[in-house]
Amino acid sequence: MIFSKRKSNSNPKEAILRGVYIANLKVSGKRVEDDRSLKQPSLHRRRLLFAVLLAAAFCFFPGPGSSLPENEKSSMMAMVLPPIEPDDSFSYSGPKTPWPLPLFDLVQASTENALSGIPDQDLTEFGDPNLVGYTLLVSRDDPVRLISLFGLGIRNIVIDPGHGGIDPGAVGAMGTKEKEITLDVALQLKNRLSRIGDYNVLLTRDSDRTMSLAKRVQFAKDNRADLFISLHVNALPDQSVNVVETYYFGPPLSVETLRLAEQENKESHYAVQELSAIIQDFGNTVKRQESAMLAASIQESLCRNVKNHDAGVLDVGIKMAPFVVLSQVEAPSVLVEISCLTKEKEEAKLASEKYREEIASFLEEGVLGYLGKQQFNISRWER
Amino acid sequence: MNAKLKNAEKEFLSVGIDLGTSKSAISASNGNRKWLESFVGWPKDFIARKVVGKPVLFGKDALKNRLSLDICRPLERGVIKEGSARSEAAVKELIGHLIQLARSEDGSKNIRAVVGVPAESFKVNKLAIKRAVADFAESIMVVSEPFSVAYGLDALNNAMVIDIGAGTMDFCIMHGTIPSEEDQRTIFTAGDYIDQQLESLLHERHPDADFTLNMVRCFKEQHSFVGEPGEPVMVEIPVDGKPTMHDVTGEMKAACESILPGMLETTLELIAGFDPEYQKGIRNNIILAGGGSQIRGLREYLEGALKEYGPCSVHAVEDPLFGGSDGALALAVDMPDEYWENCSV
Repeated sequence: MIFSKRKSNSNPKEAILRGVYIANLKVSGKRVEDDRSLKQPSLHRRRLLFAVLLAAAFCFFPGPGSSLPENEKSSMMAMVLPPIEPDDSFSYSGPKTPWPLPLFDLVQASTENALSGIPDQDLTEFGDPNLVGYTLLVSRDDPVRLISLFGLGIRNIVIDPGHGGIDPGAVGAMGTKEKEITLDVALQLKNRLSRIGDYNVLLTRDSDRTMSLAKRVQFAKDNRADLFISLHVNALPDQSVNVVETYYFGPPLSVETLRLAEQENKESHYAVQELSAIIQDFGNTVKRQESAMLAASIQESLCRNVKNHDAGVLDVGIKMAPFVVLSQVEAPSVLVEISCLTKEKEEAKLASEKYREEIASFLEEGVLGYLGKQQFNISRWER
Repeated sequence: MNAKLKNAEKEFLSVGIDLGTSKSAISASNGNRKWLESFVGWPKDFIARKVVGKPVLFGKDALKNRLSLDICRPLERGVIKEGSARSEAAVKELIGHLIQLARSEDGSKNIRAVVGVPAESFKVNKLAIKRAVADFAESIMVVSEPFSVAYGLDALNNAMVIDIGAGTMDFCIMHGTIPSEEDQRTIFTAGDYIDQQLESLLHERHPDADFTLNMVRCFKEQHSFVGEPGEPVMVEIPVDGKPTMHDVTGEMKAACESILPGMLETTLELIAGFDPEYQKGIRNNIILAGGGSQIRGLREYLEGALKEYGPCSVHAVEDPLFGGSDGALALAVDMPDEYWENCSV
């Protein structure tokens, strides 16, 4: 009788206890490898290993940037980036080598590919005359980026899980709430980016609480955000469609974009007068340029990967829209609609922790693609 | 008490907690087992504070004095009610009180807690529960509720647990390893859903009767059934202040049976999605747990409905109140020390 006897077989139990333990490490955002601490090499051995890897990396890639402190720092930062698996989409056209491609080349190739996935006209067709001046800077052929010219680095990344507390955001037919999805994905993205060690990753909210857009903006300002990524989930009248889209601040191009901006700007706690001043004052080239690059990299990664789950997902590219939360953050900022809750199958998938983890990994890939581009732009020009 | 339990008691007090929408229970390695209704109440004002004599009241005490209290049922669908700082505070009070009840003479010992959460909880819900427990425990782990029930019953292989609580009905297939997402489901047609249905049906049938949701819950706990009623269900409900007996047999049957379609559909879906070679084994080891497992006729209904798919056997746990917390305690006690060390708060 199952209720009165405990079986003596301990092996399944050990596996189960370990499974529970690992699941809890994941919930806490701790690295699963941590549990190997009993079998980990000593600190001395780890330091030795790190030193050897570092020396080997410098031998392979002395590069023109090696004499410049900033570039040296950049190279070191790139070495700790997790490797991005090359796939068919990489377009590395350099000489073939008998050894693996340098890590930074892979990162660079990945981001170049991210931008190459966007038609040229995408960056100029927004109807914003200000962008005409950016075509040289943002062109995929030979980008000159002010952030690189001025040697500006990325340190603080603020992730903003949309909605929360009394504001559930979009709600799916089965009751799945946008605020829960965005928070869960944001927590996982934070864990992933934090593991790299070079970035201070912060969340505007880490629990289910109400937070006005103004407070989110203030949080980003107070914490000197260098990048701001706001996560949302789409809700569309057509329930058969799944759309992934990434926005950065600018004038809208369509009524649909205006509708979405109106929806996401609710409870902004800014006065109308302030908003018009905001739009008029907005002219920060670096911010616009970098926001577009970040949006492109995230959109490309998200769409390419989501297509493996849903071949019918619509890639509507990057767009400009007057989201308050994007306008007031001084750093490069994007708003990503990571999925679509109104499509029933997509809602069911979003309810799965595994799928949300994957979405976080796609976002991570997009952010790292952008960061990799930023780190190596100058040295590429020097070559 | 076995040797392992005694050993675990030397340095730590291990506890298993089942935080329920309706009732919460704790089982401790010192042998203490306590439960209370998941209500927390704070006196409304100075006068109320004098009347009730305590800064915070729990369970039946809180319900009894509810007119003097700001009362809170902080859990909804098995997780902390969203967007409410008061609910978070109430859950903290509730957990603190449960642990205090379990400690007795072990006041100075550090606590290692395993807490049950609904099968398909979001990570954020798990983190919120962890935060609420963090003030009282040195190390915390969260597990899915039906899984902790299965672990406590040693039903680790070829078994399916259906844990019917107030807020959620949780399903979990056990196949010798920790259940994955595909092995678990949570649906929200559970005890509270029955209460809402019954309340609505009673209002419709007896518009003059004066009753509260709490009274409806009590009727359900005493008389719930599916299938054929043994005898008419008669309850006392005041009409214009006069206590009046009402026959609510039909309403009770309809309300209780409202959870059956979802339950059957999810059971079949989970079994059908499992390796066909093992489906028969799982059908023959279905375990009903939680307060809802006590609905008269439920076990027989499920057995009957599954018969057309082949032989099957459904059991109901003997102790639904402590099934989850006992299982969580078993996990806490069996968990190796090195795992606990990495899960400290």
